[in-house]
Amino acid sequence: MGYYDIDDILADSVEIPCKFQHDIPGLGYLENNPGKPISKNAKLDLPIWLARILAIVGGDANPDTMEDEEPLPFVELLTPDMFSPKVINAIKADPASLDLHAINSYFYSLATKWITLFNDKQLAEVVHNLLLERSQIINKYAGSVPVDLFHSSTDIGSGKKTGHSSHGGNSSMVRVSNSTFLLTLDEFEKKIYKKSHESYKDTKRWMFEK
Amino acid sequence: MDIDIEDILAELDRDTTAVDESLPSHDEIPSESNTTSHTLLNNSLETGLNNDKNGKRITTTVATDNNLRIVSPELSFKQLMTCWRNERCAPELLPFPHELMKRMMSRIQEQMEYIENISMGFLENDHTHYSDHSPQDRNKLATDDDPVATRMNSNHDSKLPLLCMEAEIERVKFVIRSFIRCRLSKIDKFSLYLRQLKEDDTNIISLDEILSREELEYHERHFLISLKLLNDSVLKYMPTELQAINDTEGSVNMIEEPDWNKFVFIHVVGPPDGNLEKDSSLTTNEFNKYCYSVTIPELKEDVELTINSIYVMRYEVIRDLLKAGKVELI
Amino acid sequence: MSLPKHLQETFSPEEIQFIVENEPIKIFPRITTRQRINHRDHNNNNKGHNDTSRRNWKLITTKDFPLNNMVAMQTTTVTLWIALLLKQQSKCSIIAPDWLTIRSLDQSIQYEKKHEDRFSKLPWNWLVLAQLLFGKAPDDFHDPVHELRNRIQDLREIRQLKVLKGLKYLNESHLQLDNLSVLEINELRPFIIDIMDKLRELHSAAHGESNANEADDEEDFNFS
Repeated sequence: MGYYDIDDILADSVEIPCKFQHDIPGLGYLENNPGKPISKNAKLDLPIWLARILAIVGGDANPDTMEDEEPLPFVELLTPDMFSPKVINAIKADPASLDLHAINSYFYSLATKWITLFNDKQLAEVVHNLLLERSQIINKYAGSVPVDLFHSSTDIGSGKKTGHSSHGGNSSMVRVSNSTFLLTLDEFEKKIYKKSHESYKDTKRWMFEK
Repeated sequence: MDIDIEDILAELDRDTTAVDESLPSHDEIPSESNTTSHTLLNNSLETGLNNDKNGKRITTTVATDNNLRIVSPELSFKQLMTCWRNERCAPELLPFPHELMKRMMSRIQEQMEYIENISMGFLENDHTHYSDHSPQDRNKLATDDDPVATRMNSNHDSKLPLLCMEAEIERVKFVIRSFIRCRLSKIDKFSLYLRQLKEDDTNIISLDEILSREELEYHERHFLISLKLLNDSVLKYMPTELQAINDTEGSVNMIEEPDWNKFVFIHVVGPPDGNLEKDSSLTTNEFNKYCYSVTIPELKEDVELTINSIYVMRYEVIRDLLKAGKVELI
Repeated sequence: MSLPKHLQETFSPEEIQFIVENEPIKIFPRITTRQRINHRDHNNNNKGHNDTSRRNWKLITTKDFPLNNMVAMQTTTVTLWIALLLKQQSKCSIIAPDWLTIRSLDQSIQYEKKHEDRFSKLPWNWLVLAQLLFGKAPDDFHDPVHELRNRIQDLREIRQLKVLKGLKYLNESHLQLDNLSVLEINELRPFIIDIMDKLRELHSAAHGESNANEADDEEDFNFS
């Protein structure tokens, strides 16, 4: 995850709900009230890169608080829908057939950020299991390489290899469900799918050509 | 971008002329010298790490030049293959194998000359009576007959050894090319990080040990060119305080470092000299197998790496074993 | 880029083949290269000619002694790529390794079926070597090649299934994968590494082991 990682930048711009803990003058433009202050307890969706800072940095010392106390941060982060008990339960119930892409296309990336922010070990465990379960299916799809993919190219040169197409028989069936399955993957899962699919395909092609 | 092996060879030729001629052929290495070549090899690998930055460099190079003659070609090639595979799998840029590459390059050079000589028939005067021939006679011989064929028993294909030697050269060139390409792509990727290493005096190993001379120059120029591009296209339009390209204060470090904990596939091979008894870092586990004990700091977990086994392990954990040649990346 | 993206973290199957081709294999040469002149020369070695000049084969990646001392129909050991080259020129037959017979492969298949949690001890290059020899030296086998092929395919499929089951045990710590061959490892590499790296990331996120910026303050490269 480098500084110039485009996926990380995109994930960082996903908005999450925040609650302001101070009245802040002039910030009303964030909720379409230019020129007005934003008031304490106002709820607003902010991109995570901004919310993260505002949730850590404290506001002006509140006259009510004691001097030693840490200043109250500008905003409090509210649990976004994707980590709500409802979604978490859905994840736990059936990770395999879940449409993760619909929940969020940067789910793992955001989960990691969220876990880091709150040292949320429970969420980490849920996501850990989610990834493990789903990776089995991703791997299964990635590994199904139709042999006829190579037929067209290699058949011209050598006819002798045709007797060798026993495996990967129901490839057309796999391919149909493949497309719908791929739509349910988040960006990280897609990347894994692509990379391992390439790897399986390359190996199979090599095996076939020998 | 393409790297031309000829350039590299020409480059190295200037350096290694002293070594060039001294390489004897190694048909068979007497078995006793096999062990010495192993230990000498270790020395030459380690001298790169141990000598101080400026002073002792030359003397050790001279000393290892003598060793060049002892490391057999097949062992050198094996090392080259290991270097290549390690480099391809490691998340960081590994130290350049200066001595090994010097050896390989001069062998390639020598071999190419040899092949050329054969194909031109210059080795014709092999048999002593040929040397009595007048130059004209020799020319005649060389043109009349297939030069290689005359040197062989008549019953087998004269071109075969030549074919083989040419194929071999291509194979060596491939590995070296791929090795260098891999290193260049890492130099590109970690351009800033390496730059930082260069300026940091506290490093145990200096940048000119990690990079070859050509790579140093490449790195320097690549860095300046890309910085100029970045500056001309973006940075100069930004306020001064936003022009930094190596800000480490923000939430994400701008300088991309190798992912030290990246998982790698390793094969535990044991000490390079094969002497299990003498390797003090080896222990025996409850199954009476030799193993290296390592700790994964983050998990506070101890793992035994048994010899000849294959593991998926965090790079940082096995980095020292890798540099000691006790594990290989696969 | 100096190295194509897809080669930056793994090898291509062709590169794996290249690696395997550097391994020794036994052959029956059909030619003789051992030269009697050598002996004669010993007796009256008059000029200071180096032996080097008389050798036909001079190699820099492997011992050339076996190649310069081939005797027709006498077993010798050479590097695989040379064996394949000789074979292509009909100068040798390649002796298939012991494990690459119907009998031996059947035993391996039995073992694979019997032990759900481990792989049979096939050599690290079994898959590549088998494919290469099937393709380039099919007439050198005693057993019918299509039978051998089928068994290799069976072995591969059984082992793939096992691997699939094993992937449930990916974790953030480490894995031991004994007896997996070089091609099988290479094929699985992107998947295993990516998943394990992500699990590691999740773990360290939860345990506060964030990669704090350890880098020392450096002067900035400002260009204005």
